[in-house]
Amino acid sequence: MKNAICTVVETADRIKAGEKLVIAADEALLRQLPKGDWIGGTSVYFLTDGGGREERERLFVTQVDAQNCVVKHLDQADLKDFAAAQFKSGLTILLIPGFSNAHQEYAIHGPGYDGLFDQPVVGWISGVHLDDIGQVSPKVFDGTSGQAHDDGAVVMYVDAAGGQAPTVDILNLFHQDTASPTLKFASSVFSATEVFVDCKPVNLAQYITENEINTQLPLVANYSGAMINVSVQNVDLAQGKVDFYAPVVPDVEYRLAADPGPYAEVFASRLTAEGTHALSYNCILNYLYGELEGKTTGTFTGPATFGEIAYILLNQTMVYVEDAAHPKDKAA
Amino acid sequence: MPVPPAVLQQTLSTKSDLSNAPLAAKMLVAKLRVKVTRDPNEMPNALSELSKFSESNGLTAQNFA
Repeated sequence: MKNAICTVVETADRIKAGEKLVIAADEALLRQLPKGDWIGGTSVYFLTDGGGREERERLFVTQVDAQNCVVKHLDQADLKDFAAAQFKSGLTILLIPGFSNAHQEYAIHGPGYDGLFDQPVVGWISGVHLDDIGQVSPKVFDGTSGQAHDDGAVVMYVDAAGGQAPTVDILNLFHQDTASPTLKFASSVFSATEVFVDCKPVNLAQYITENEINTQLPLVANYSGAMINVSVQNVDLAQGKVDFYAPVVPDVEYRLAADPGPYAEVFASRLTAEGTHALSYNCILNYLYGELEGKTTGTFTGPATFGEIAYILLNQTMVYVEDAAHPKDKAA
Repeated sequence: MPVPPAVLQQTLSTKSDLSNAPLAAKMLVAKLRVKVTRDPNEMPNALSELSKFSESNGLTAQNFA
């Protein structure tokens, strides 16, 4: 994997040369690219070597090292079977448009898909400029057809035959606050009204408001040692409901997150080696709440996205792929 | 060497962290633990799924320690 910020002309040249690429950029730039072995998603926020920045003139291009790959667009209805077409040994990269039906489908039902954990699955949810939310739909692009889609998913099946399949991991600055009560939900939803706080049913919006809970900090579940966040999008006290950026999972114990401290500093200190070869995606909420514009976060670079995929949909997390050819890429 | 079924069953019956396991194993175990907690009769299916996963990924008992 190798990352670069490129102009449209440079990116087009690389596509024509047969490179296999994953591209993040403004929609207008992606529409100018020629057909080829690439997938793309809209994003205008990048974490670069020089720091976080908004970028509408150039593209964030990641070269995927593989002899062979297959690019497809899947309709929402076919998403559940995406793993069936994987190479025997390889990596699957999924891009899904933000706020789409496929986004909801993958978030809620993805964890139960057949074959989900059979090989590394990474990806991200495409977005738009924050000022354009509600006016412009996030898109994904199938490079083989040049088509843009605002629903379904584009997938790049990467063949790792003859080489070693890469591994996927996450960097999450948040962990459970041990002083927090446990929070449990009855169903898998993006919007919750009732929550069981230490087994007692309460209205979540009321609970958050009355306890002055900082909603920039996510709810955190412990998945056998992997900390998985669910971030709060909106608290509507009048309606008594709380919207999330990913669904809460029934019967899973969440706790409030402990405050990690100054984000950019903590983030940089958690990165123990250079990540120039790593494919990585960071959450737009980390970008915003961490005020990362102009701040460097080590050398793990990539687009800031509306959700990250490491097998399942994640929030407020950095996902990275450790390239088998460059095993020193490692976050703490 | 395949992971002994007793180790996998112990893994699914506790809440312990799997600090030596890859991310996919942690997520799969978390999913299966919820399934088994909801319905203990699901244990054989969960064990079978975890066993298949650990075998195809070359995991050892140490990954579940």
